[in-house]
Amino acid sequence: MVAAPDRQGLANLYRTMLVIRHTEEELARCHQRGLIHGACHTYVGQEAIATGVCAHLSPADVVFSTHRGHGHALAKGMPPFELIAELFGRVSGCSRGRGGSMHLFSPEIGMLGTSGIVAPCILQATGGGYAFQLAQNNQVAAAFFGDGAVNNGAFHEGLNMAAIWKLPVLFICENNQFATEVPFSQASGIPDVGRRAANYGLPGEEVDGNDVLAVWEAARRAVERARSGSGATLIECKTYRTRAHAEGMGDFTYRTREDVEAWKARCPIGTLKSRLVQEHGFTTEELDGIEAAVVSQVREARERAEAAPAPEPKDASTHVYAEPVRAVTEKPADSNARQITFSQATLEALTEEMAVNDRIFVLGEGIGVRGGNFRTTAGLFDKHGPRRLRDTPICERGFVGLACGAAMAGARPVVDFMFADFVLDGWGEIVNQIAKMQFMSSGRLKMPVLLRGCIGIGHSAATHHSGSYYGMLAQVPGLWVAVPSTPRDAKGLLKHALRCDNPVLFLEHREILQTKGPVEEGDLEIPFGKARIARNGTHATVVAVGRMNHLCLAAAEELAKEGKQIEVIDPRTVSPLDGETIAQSVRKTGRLLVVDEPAGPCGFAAEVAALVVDQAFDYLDAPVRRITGVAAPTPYSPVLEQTVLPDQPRITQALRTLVEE
Amino acid sequence: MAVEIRIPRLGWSMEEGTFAGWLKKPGDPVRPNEPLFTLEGEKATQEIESIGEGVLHLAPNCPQPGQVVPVGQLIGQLCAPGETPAWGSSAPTPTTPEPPARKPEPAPKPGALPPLSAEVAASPSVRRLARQMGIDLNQVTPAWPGGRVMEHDLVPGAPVPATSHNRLIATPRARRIARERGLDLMQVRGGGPGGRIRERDLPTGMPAGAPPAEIPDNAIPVTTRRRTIAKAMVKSRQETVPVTLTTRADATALLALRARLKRETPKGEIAPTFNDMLLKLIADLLVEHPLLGSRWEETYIVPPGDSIDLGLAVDAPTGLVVPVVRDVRRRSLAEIAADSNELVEKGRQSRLTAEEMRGALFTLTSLGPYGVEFFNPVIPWPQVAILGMGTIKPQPVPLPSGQDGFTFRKELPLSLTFDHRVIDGAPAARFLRDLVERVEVIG
Repeated sequence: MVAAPDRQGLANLYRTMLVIRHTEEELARCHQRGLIHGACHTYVGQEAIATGVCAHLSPADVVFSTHRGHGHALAKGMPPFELIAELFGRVSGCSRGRGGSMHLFSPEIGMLGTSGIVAPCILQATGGGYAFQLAQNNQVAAAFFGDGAVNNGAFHEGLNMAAIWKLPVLFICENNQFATEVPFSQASGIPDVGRRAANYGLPGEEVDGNDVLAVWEAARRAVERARSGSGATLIECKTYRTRAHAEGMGDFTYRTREDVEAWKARCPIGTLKSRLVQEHGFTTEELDGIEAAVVSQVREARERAEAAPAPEPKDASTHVYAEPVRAVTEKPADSNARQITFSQATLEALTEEMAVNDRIFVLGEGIGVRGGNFRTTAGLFDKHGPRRLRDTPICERGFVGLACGAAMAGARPVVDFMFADFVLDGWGEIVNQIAKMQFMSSGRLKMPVLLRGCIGIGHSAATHHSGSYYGMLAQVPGLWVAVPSTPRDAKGLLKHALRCDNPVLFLEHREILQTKGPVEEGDLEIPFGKARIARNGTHATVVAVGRMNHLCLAAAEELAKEGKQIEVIDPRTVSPLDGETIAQSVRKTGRLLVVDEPAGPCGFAAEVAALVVDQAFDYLDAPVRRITGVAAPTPYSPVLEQTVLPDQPRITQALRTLVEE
Repeated sequence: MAVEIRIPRLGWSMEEGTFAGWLKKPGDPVRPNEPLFTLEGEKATQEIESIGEGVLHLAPNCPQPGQVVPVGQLIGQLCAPGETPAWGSSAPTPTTPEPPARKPEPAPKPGALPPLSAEVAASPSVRRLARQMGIDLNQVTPAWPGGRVMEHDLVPGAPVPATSHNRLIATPRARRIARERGLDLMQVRGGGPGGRIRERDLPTGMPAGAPPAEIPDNAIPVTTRRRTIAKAMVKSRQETVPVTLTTRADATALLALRARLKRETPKGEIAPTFNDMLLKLIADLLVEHPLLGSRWEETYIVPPGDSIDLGLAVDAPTGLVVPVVRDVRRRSLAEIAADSNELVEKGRQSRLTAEEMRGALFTLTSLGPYGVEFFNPVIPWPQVAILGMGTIKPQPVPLPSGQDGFTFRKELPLSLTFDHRVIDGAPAARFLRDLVERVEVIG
């Protein structure tokens, strides 16, 4: 027995498809009129899919979509005006003019975003499902993606995670047979997508994507499974887009006019209209009345959008980071506090925060029962169980993308990379998705994602377990990057990372994890962007983070024996960087050495040097000097490893020269 | 309802395209997706399909094939049968589709290429200072040849050295402190690498920010002009090896000429002074003695060019200024007189521009009005010589041969100071001898 919507439901399906069709055609005309400044990917021909699926979703359920996302946004409930205004680049657009056709955000109605990158939506919906499972709120997440996404690693990683954890997710593949212009037959060994679900232990369906009732029914079953805790479903909807990939692009280099005409004859709207009249007792007049209302609604929306104001230039860089909701000040350090190691300090911070905030969960390899390769989660699994201490398959891109979606859906993920070198496998998700979401959504989404991992050269870890990468990461607007050097800073900064609403890369130097220092018990939060003066001095300033700061302190000790007082500064966060404290110190001492473990080009040391030249030029009494690692992959042999790494004798000698020159 | 036909955007950055021609004729019925016209975009020529349906009407200003058109331009409408387009029924003559014409070359825009400006290199802080001091950086020659204009090149109202090979190397911190304390870094010996001056090399040895020494109540503030003069004098002292030769010339002819010119100069015009006459004589002589008007450049010597430009020291209320009289040799005495009179007036009123004080080959200075006879003028580096005029007064001279006793005649004392690095004693003496001869026969 196949279920079907009631009469009102049928009328709604018809109306939604018409809203999509007429809005898209209006946008095509507007594109020709030059009102759309960038790309415009229309959904014409595929209306039945978004309509059939979204009919089952409430505003609390979330949708993640692709570059061809107009239809999903409209079906999820976005008024045509907000979509059209967005493509016109107006401040009343759904993304406030920041996104255009490919970046549509409306968290208020559960439209968590479309993306210009193919496939991240699969991982984000998986993450949305994870957040809902954690919150046990019965909501579901849906990913819409094309056939172009299914031969991408994100498809494999996302479906696998959703399957093993039984996440409430709908994976809706819109197989329109072309990934831009590449036919699916040339991109896949088998012509169908739905049956791939079996490989992951998921139910899979293959339906006629131009039949809205077939899609509606498949989606109904999938949503039911998701809400009942039975997990995810893959639905392949076979369809065809009948306009070009993007407006203004030629269409007949890779497909024929005849093919397009044949599919136009199978128009999902026309098909439904006939069936409504023939099988469901609708009159043609009734349906034409619906269409006339839609046409005038869309025209009105376009007229309003044309009259809507442009964004203010002054807002071009607002919402890159979340506005701080509370002032954080650091308590004075208590040097008599008990001594604990760096590792113990971060574990203490995580333990305390997880106890009071049940939105926090940890993803990583071996962080569950095992307690983390570096004891980062020791004892937490017993307290909080597998959902909050989630051992993952080895799929960094996958679980970083999942963390992104989970944060968008209200959770607070902690990704424990073990080694920060593995961050690079999730680079696209971090840079293109996590870092940009707050900005693209005009601050309506918060991205409290903590990404942590060990960095640093030592003990012959060799090239895939020695990278630091914070220079690269600090170049990304929207990310904060912390590189603590003491147990106290580690605890205080990690607490701040777990309380702020921004994505944070928290990088712990492996060679100092067992160093001890005084750390206050209980609450200790250290705000980002405030450097610590690790040692006062007058003859020269040295700036370094992480392990290098320890070496600099030892070098300063040596210089003190020679009567030279070196001021040692630890910025603690590479981004935001406390330029003022550094510049202030150089104004006093007139001399600056920056010591940094990674290679020099375009790095942290270069940034510090540049900001000092900008802010304290007239106070420099010697050239700014840098000591950085050798620009080579980290070698294994101890002899070679020592050679690429800045060491204390070199720092001491550089300081000696600097104070004299 | 009529459907507008506009020029579409083909690709992200297209702003205009070349209209290649219609694929339908006016009055033709057009159905959706039928090719309507051809448009040449950035990448390719494309057939544009109709979005709507109706009878084709061309817009009155519809483009001709080959014409470049902006994206968004209205080129036609599709109307329902019997419907009139927005511009009425008077349709323009249909254009027969032709092969697309060559895209017309864009006409050169008038004045599109700004003249190449050889802008002076200077740091932002120097530019700001120059603005504050009202100095045109284009008028400033950097002390470091081919280099950036530095703060110490900005010299208000003083002779600006043309070039120098002495580049001052000092840290930004030392420069700042020197500026704050009014120290002349040229006087400081740098102890850093390559002679770099650091804070610790500055004379007081006081750390930055230490309170300055107490200033007595009756202290006279050092003006920028004074500081500039001081710098120029010190520079000369440091750079040159001055030797002074003195002699006297019979001033009888000079006085007679001065008296005659005073008489003959029409009212309202300026009678040439002794200075003007001497300038004229010096200009002529420098052609015969080019070394005296040359410029020392360490590895070579630059002789005078066509235009003999001479400096004239002026005692202004705010201090010494040296305006430059241009092209003295080729211009008449009356012209020189008019020029120098104006420059002296300007100098006294502090209205001289940097340009008016730049580029002298040789300088004339006079202490005659104060009764001084001989003195040691300072060579205005990088010039190599300067002539000082003393006061004209009667001197005893032996009577013509055969007669005993003295008579008196008026004589002009002259002091020639020259840079012995560049000019030896004898050539300098020959110049002075020739000058005396000319003074004595002037007229």
